[in-house]
Amino acid sequence: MTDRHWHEALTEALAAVAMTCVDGDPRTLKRSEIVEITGFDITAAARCQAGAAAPPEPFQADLFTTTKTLALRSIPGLRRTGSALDSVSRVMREAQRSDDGAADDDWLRRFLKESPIDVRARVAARAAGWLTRTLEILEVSDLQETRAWRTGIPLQWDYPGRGLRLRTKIDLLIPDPEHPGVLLPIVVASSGRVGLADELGFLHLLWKSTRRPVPNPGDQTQPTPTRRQARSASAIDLSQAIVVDHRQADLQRRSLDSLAEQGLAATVRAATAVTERDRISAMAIKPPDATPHADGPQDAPTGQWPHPVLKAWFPNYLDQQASRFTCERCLWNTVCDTAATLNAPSPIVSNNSGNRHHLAGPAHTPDQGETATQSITEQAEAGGDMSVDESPMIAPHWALVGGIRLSEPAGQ
Amino acid sequence: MIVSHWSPSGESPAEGTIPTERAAKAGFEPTAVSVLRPIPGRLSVADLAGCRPTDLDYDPPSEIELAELSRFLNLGLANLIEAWDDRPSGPLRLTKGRIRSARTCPAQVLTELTRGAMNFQLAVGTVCDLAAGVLAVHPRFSGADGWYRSLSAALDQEHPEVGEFVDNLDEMGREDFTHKVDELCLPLPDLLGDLTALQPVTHQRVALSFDQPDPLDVLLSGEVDLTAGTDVQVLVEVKSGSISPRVIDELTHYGLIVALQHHRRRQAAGPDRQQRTKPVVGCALTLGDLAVTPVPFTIENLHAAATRVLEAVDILITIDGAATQDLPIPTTPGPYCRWCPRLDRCSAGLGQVETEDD
Ligand code: SF4
Ligand code: SF4
Repeated sequence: MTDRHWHEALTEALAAVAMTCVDGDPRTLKRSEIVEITGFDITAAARCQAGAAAPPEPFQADLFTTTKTLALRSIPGLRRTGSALDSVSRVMREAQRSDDGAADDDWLRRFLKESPIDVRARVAARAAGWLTRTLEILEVSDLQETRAWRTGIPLQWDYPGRGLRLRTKIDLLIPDPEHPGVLLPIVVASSGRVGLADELGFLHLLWKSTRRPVPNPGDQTQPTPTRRQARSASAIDLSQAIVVDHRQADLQRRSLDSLAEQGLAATVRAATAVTERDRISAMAIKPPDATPHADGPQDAPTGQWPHPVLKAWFPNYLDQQASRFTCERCLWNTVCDTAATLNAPSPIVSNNSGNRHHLAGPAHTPDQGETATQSITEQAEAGGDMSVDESPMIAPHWALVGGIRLSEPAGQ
Repeated sequence: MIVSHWSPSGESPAEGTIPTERAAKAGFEPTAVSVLRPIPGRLSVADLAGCRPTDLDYDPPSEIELAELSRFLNLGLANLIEAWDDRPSGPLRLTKGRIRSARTCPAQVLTELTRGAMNFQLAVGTVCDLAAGVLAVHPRFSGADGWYRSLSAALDQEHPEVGEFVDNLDEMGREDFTHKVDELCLPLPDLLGDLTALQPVTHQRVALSFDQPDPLDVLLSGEVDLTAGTDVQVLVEVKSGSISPRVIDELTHYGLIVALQHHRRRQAAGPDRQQRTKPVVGCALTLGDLAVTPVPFTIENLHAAATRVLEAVDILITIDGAATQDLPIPTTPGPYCRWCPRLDRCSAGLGQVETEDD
């Protein structure tokens, strides 16, 4: 397939989602009017689509969100300083010295400037650790090799005539040892491999759809590469990528050509989740036809699931959600929380103190990629008791933790 | 020359290990707990991280030995997993804590259901660990205003549960807490030494998955408090208590993961590629007895760690079966019951504590 084909494939696959977005040329729309799907959304949706559709947390600069950016900004200094830690320290010192004007529009600088010394030391440790580990796995013995490294190459694709934008960044490009003059993307999997193929597919798809210069600038259906993309395009090969896995300490060269199709599916999944997220938050402000069920869940006729009020508000909501969650506990929590946001009675039994009574068990760790052991639909099919009175929808008495089922035996 | 500071004696039986028929079929015998013979020394982590491979007075495992170890672990896991009827989906996770609980007392694994509960000792340990992480990159960091206070902003972000725990203590409890933290952190800069030129990496998550045959879906994982070293790679475990076989076993779990990671990389690189992976050595930094104890990852120690993994898997499969059938989970009460978070729900543990108190 040619790149043009991928542009068309994207346009077609995202048509339904795009119809829910603002009508207009993304280049003239305000940023707030454009729905943006980022690489982050792709990974989040690959892990759990329900998670991606959860209300977004506002971005906050902290120890966790600054690590990679600081590490990437420290790469150009590696050759001169001779060590990852020294290079990170240098970037931090510069941030400290920068005048307020420069720091104001740079969230990382502002964060570094405003943070107390213990936080700065932890950020430095994390960023230097990220860099050290990356260099170690790439087997870089001489830091002069990093001279040709490039960081932060943006990729962006706009839906023709609609406020829908796909964007991501290639974190790091390094020279391909096997093909001089060619730069290969490095994708660092620092927290596991779940969603990695989707992320790579998305990267490849965006590259394919945007890298060619527009033959007819007047034609809005054509993709628009950024100037930087156009400049660097000739040297970059995105038909493959090197995946660096920090945890498993290994490195894999992956061919990306075969992942474009997967990237397309992942894009649609993430875009659906993101637009649904917006829809749900809009509903939370003004629930359609909201008639809160004042008497609480105890009033729900036994055997009715989903709860009639919730069902009325969200036609098919629960069925959709059940197939998206990767852990059952979260299905309950989210349904419950959604109901609470909308001021509806919880479909899950409330205890006397008013706390909602979710499935027992520790919080699910999303990056382990656990899957539901027994979905709600499976329970229903198996003819499980779905009544509200006696531990209604909470079918399993155990919780799945780290690959085994655990439950407190009665009276042990 | 760095002297190996301990050696396994192989004499005492493993605490609470329940050998099963499955274990016998899987081809392994339960291990013995390593017994320490600590030799007092004045050593800093930086001394150890700065040494050369020739400074180590033991032979790191050869490639053939590691290949054999890898086969042993893979085969043992494959046999155990094959016999696990009705396995739930998702990777089976083996952390050092889980391996320890399973082998100490199978019912203790149930504390994972209420994970996250803080206690005094855990909160103190978390602060000390964070202090070490800060000092690794900033050796002149001063806790002169009190270590807990000096680290409170970073703690808020990385371990908010510690702040919550301390806030809920009464005034005397808080004083005890800050005093204990100060006492333990005071010698930390000396025990660590200056690591800034030794490529320190703090809180490195490590993992090893088993993909053969047809993904086994078993994941050995952990988070190493600190690694450092240019010619050797030192894996450091920071503890607020004293050196004990348990600390050594935990470190060796990391040693097993990292040694097999390196082995796999060398295998993947092929014989004609230069072997760039460094020799790995363990190091326990115990603040309770002010000791820096090197832990050699000899093939015998790694083999014992692999056997502990297999024992734990065997026990975890038993626990899984009991949970699904609502059967009691075996308990092996002992002196550790007193500190078990499950004590208030466990009749065996309560009985044990009562007997001890009598
Ligand atoms: S915790 Fe797991 S199942 Fe729940 S929303 Fe997040 S990823 Fe999905
Ligand atoms: S109290 Fe003792 S017997 Fe009971 S679970 Fe804990 S360690 Fe096991």
